[in-house]
Amino acid sequence: MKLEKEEYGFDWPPSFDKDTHWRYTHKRKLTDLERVAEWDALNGNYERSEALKKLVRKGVPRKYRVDVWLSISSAGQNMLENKGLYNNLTARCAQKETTDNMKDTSGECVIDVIRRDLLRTFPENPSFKEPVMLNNMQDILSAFCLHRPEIGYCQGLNFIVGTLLLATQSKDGELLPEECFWLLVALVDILPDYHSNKMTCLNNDCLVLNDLIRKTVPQTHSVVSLFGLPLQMFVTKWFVCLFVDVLPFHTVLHVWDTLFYEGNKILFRVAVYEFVLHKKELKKLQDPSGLAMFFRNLFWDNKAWDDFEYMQKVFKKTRKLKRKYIEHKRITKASETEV
Amino acid sequence: MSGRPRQNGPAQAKALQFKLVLLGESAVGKSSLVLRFVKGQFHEYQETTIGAAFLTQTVTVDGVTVKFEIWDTAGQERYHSLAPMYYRGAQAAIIVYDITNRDTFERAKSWVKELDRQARKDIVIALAGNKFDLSNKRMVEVEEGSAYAQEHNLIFMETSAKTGDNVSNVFVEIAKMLPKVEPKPNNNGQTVRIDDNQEAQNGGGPGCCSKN
Ligand SMILES: Nc1nc2c(ncn2[C@@H]2O[C@H](COP(=O)(O)OP(=O)(O)O)[C@@H](O)[C@H]2O)c(=O)[nH]1
Ligand SMILES: [Mg+2]
Repeated sequence: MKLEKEEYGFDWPPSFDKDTHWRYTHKRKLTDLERVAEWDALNGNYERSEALKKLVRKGVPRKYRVDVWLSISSAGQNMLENKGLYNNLTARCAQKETTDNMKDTSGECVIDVIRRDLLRTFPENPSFKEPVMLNNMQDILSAFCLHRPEIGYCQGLNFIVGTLLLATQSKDGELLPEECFWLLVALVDILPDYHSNKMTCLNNDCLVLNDLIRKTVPQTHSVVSLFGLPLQMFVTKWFVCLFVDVLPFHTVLHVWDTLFYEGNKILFRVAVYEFVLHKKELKKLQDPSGLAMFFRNLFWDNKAWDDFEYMQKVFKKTRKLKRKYIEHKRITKASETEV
Repeated sequence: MSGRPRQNGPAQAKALQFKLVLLGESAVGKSSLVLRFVKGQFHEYQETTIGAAFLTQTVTVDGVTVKFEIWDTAGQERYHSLAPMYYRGAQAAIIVYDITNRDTFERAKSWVKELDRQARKDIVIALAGNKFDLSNKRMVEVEEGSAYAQEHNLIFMETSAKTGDNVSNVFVEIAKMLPKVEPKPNNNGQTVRIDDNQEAQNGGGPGCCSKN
């Protein structure tokens, strides 16, 4: 029997049989009830505090997510202070005079580039066949190009916007494009300059991660480096898409909860934890091909399906990782590559 | 940095492994070609490739089994700086353009130049004019592609990931050009077999004009 899709419209992993599936959904319902009760008690007060940080680390319930993301990031504030800007941007994107000047680095009109990727975003998810979903995606990405021309459109942002739209969609299916636009701006501001033209910050953070792995999970690092392949070949997508399409969808949202609250260090914590979590498998690998296959199949790995447990472990296993260290590494790596 | 020695010494006579990279503008059909070759499938809406994707597939050419380790790369210009990581050390490359889009052909040419400068000297390169099924909307003539390929000593084919035309042939032609540790002298047994691939019978479809 083929199981229906999970709550956001994605396929269950093929390895999930009926039992695992039932156990998983059952457990999730219980954790969700618990989480919701805790968030109910806050009464919409999301002021920063140690207590709130702890709650966010346990994951924000689906029904509170939009409000929480808007208030713990700069998005809500920005949206208030720039009333009408999003509508103004999308209106301009509908004018030929504007779009004629919006070029991708290849010289092609960027709207065309965006349009081509719309149906190439989560094609297995039925929501991404719906015209209203696709139109909103195009609007947000185009508006973003106009708002942040120094970044423009970077492939991968389509997955980020798709994730935002799905995550913030109300129970009756209503989409919140303006909120998603500001959340996208907030996310890009939280990140180093990953998505802009030369992607130098992205390359740099991959190198930082490489050093982090060498320091914290040396056994796995020696395996990877034995094959002589740069780690970057495998982890680019982790940073560009913020783990979308790498981890299960609801786990990605949980990562983003903490990303919005705590900043981009969380990306390193999750990335390092992936190596900790898969230490055994990694050490067994025989050749570069096995290594590449390993990274490719991570998505179907069941270990990250229980997002609650997964994130608790991320924080526990990587608690020694300090923001200072990452910032220091970023500077040294950047100066090394400059030479 | 040197890789661990490959475990395919002559004693085992195991599959020879070759690293192959796909390059070309976004949306020309790189991922679709790989999907067709590896799984015999085609998706009307193929997910955008971010960074790069890795797949493997084996072909048997003249009794020698060749395993391709395929790196399918992202096409958008800003991902360009990542490309050298994937073509470094590659023994083969397929540079893809879309026959219905002239700009993608120009982009393909610039990939050829880049590989000439920066890749292994003995790299085997194939130029694939993809979306052959859309030849009524063609913007690049076959002659043009094939002349360019001839001039630069590339294998050339027009392919369709959608219908499967010529897809496995590209890989087979590449496999033939790659150095074999144990060359089989008999050229009469042209038993080109593609493992796990429904497209095996697909022979040289229309638009096939492999050089050599
Ligand atoms: N008609 C037709 N469409 C194709 C062919 N190959 C790929 N496509 C379509 O072109 C789009 C881009 O393909 P994709 O493989 O993702 O291109 P990539 O960005 O180069 O990897 C997808 O919608 C494919 O379905 C082909 O041979 N014929
Ligand atoms: Mg692709």
